[in-house]
Amino acid sequence: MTAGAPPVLEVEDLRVRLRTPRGPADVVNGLSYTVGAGETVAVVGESGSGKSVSVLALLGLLPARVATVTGRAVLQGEDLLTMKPERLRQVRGPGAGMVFQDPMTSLNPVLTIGRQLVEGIRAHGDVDKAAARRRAAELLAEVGLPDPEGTLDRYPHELSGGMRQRVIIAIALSNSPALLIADEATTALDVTVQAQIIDLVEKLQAERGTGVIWITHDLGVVAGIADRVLVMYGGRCVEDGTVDDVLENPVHPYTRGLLGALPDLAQPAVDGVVPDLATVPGVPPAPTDLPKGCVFWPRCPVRGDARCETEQPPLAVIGSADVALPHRAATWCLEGTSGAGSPEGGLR
Amino acid sequence: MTGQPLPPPDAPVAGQGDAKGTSPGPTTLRPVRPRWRETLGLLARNPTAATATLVLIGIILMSVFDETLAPQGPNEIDVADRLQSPSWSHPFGTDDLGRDILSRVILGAGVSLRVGFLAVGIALVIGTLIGLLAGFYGRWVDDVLMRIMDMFFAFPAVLLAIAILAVRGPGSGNTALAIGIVYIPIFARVTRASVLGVREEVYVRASRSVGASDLRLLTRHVLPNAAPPIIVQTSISLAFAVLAEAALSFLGLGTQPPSPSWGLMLAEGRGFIDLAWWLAFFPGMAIFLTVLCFNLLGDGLRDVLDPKQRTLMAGGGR
Amino acid sequence: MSGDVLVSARGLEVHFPIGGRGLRGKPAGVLRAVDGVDLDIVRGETLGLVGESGCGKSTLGNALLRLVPTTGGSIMYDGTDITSLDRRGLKEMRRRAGMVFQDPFASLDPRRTVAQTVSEPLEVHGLRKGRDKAARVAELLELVGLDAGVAGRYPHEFSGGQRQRVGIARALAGEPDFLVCDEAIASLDVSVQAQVLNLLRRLQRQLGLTLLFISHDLSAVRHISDRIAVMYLGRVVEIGPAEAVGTDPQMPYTQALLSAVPLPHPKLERERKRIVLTGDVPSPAAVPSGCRFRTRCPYVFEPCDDVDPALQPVGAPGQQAACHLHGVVGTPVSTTPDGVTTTP
Ligand SMILES: Nc1ncnc2c1ncn2[C@@H]1O[C@H](COP(=O)(O)OP(=O)(O)OP(=O)(O)O)[C@@H](O)[C@H]1O
Ligand SMILES: Nc1ncnc2c1ncn2[C@@H]1O[C@H](COP(=O)(O)OP(=O)(O)OP(=O)(O)O)[C@@H](O)[C@H]1O
Ligand code: SF4
Ligand code: SF4
Ligand SMILES: [Mg+2]
Ligand SMILES: [Mg+2]
Repeated sequence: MTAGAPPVLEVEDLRVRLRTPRGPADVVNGLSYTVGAGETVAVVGESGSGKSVSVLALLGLLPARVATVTGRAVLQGEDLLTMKPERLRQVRGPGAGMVFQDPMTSLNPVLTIGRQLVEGIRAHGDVDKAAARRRAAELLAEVGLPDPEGTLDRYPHELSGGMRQRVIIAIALSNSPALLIADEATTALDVTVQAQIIDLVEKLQAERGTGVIWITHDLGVVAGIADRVLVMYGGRCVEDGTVDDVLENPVHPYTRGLLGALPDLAQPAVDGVVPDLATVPGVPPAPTDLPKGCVFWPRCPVRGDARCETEQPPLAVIGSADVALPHRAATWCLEGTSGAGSPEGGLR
Repeated sequence: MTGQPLPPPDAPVAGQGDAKGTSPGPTTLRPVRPRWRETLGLLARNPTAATATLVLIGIILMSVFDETLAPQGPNEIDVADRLQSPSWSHPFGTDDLGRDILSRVILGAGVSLRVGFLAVGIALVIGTLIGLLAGFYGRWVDDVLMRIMDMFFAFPAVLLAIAILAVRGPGSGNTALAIGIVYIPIFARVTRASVLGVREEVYVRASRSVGASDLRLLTRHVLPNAAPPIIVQTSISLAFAVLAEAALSFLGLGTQPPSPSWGLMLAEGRGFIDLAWWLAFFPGMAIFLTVLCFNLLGDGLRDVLDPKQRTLMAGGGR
Repeated sequence: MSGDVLVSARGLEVHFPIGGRGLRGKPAGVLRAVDGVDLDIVRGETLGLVGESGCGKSTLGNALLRLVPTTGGSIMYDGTDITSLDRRGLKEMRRRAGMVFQDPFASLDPRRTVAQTVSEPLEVHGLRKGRDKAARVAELLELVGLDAGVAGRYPHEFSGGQRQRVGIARALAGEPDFLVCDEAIASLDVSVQAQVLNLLRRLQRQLGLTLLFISHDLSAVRHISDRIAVMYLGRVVEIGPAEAVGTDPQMPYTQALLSAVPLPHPKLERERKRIVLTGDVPSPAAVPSGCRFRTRCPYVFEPCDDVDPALQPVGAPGQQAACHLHGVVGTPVSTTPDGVTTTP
């Protein structure tokens, strides 16, 4: 991250409320963060914690009929949330590219890959069909697809899961966006291809200063690419800080549980039997019915404070506040956070 | 282990999220609502579509109880009362033979709707079947069936209908048949397009993986999931069928006098448009209202049946 | 390898026709998604299957259940060749072998309740009727850790992990002895992944299942598998005990794959030395002659161009790799025309 340069994206107190038959669902509750030029912010967290919704809201992709979005989200000097729909359409693509989570549903099953890519390229650039097609083939080659020319003429179901995912990445990269949002972009990919995609994104960042929001549940990827990590739970940020702080020295009980649930490549077998993985017991709260106090309270193994049940803990700085990226966590129990003595604290 | 009963599950370990700990939380333990009721519920929240539905129900009820509702018989001639403008005794006026227009509009609803429903029924059943087979099996089945449909489509619709009626003779039954045949390719195409998307869905393969037959796949998985656009098309086609019946009757090929079909009344009223506007106006309004409502219902259904919309509004999804 | 073999593939091929579709008139070609796979899966074991995206893992898994047509080779399932089964035989085979799909959001029919989904195999095979059926559904749901009361719900009311459990319950309904899990945990949360992995392990022990666990998550594969097979471009290029393949891979591709596994520890991750593969990524529509990894292999040497390496025992007991670095074994390309190479 380059200090002093204006951030690519500045999100302030983002809130999303969805109208559901079960009543209003508070899916995102006051999220604030910045993405600097060339910086990568990794967003991790429980399924349903509002990661996808929070970025969909930024790009105005939630139907206005059901979603109420408040807060501020300034992309290169313009507030995305108050932008006119036409302007927003122009911004999507060259301003902010997005790789959606669901590869099967973000490609049209009855159109060839080529048509879908060419459409994306031509929507924002004044290029003729042949040039767009050449560009499309180049992009497919860049994301490591073999036989890019041939792939253009194929239909989504003829590609493997990982190949489809790479097509979607190619579409998002087709306009070299200033901000790239990758929602589980490499989840369907094997590690070598994943590494290749990450290299590609890092190249784009170095060349264009692209800011990246990387949503993933692969903490290995987070460790490799992120400058900053944001842990979400129940629509809130429960912990953030530099990647070292959060992964090596997690403070929030949820973050610790998450790290503890990882299978380790170098796992110890006990008497030839591999032990079961630790899990975080319980289910996440429904956004229609968030607990009154700490959002993690019903599942928290610590609950070491009287306020846990009644009062939402604020994001408080842990350790030194005088650094560029302070380590913060939203929990009442900061004692014993050094990781010592707590079984699931940190990682060896 | 085949054939042996399954051993009981491990007792869930306390504090371990594995077994019971992940059963749905209290919020998902609500009474189950069947799909169609959910659809109705969502539709009811769309004011335009809800109004259209109510009006249509009204028109259908009117056609069912037409005998009771109509103040007079459709063909009661009262020469003394010819070409009366709307009044208390004849709210819609009377025609050149002194027949009560209100009564004829009410009784005409049955004729118009019957033709509409019958026509769309024919097109729906045959067209959907063709589209289903073409989309699901693809390859030569698709080629053969869809080329035939293209041939149908290549004829101008009215011409095709006129040709069919010329062969089979006029009358409301044949009108329905003609309109139905003309609409078959529309349903075949809509169905095929929808099936093409559904066919590749993982759940179809999943069902095949447990040994389900093609028939089962088609009836239990493909058709229900391909249905929304077909339902929307049905609603819109009903509108067009009512219009087509009117047009054909207007041309003298559809319903034959003295049956009171709206189209026929419109045709008959045409000659009096300067003299007695109500002759054409009220049947025209009836057609307009019915067609409009079917179209609005179609639009409403399109929104409600869109799976993306549904998860969003039903609060499901991920 | 010990124990009796449940599933055995010999020279298995799945080739898809490509090009020549419609009016485009491209020269027709074949895409060799699975191209000469020899694989034995031992009863009661968990075999992990890893490999590059598009290398044919899913196609292989589908082919073993006859969900895609095979174009060559044989598959023996518990002693019968299933590539030549008639309809009845196929149906019975599909009862005895189940599949769990990658995407729990796509693999459940949104218009059918959990009970309808889980009971489908029971109906298809006429296993249970009426009240028995409902009882069996409840039993299955409890087996996968769901409350039996959820039977009447629709998939959209469930989280990813819960849906995946429903998918597993469906796959188990016919009391299969073989289960193919195709990326069964890929789209799940870390904490839910752990739950599903634990569940699969428990079920395997409890029901004596044989599992083919396809995944690109090498940590998860190592956690759950007894043996690991590595695929590259339609072929199994290394196979062996999980421990051996995971720590001491013998085939250059496996080495590259393992070196690319990101570690969830920032410091270690920064120091990790990844073997970066350069060179063209070959397409399964144009498989290189000789060793199919040679366009990217850092150790490529002379025989690699025209001798297609066969699997040979190397490293730990039970470990096999297809690479000439361990001695040149295989079919010279010249012996077979049109580059179709088969391992003897
Ligand atoms: N279309 C929708 N309609 C109603 N509620 C929704 C919809 N999409 C998401 N939600 C709700 O919003 C919450 C946040 O969902 P979101 O998709 O952002 O989660 P996520 O953090 O991206 O999870 P995952 O890791 O599973 O992708 C969830 O509780 C979900 O139920
Ligand atoms: N129906 C099909 N028609 C044509 N080609 C196909 C078809 N299905 C798969 N393929 C091709 O076969 C190859 C192998 O695909 P497969 O889905 O088996 O890969 P995979 O190893 O599962 O990859 P991933 O890890 O990305 O899921 C790919 O090149 C794919 O494009
Ligand atoms: S505030 Fe209390 S309940 Fe919440 S995470 Fe901290 S200890 Fe747990
Ligand atoms: S056979 Fe040759 S090209 Fe193939 S993996 Fe071994 S060294 Fe590399
Ligand atoms: Mg998401
Ligand atoms: Mg796959």
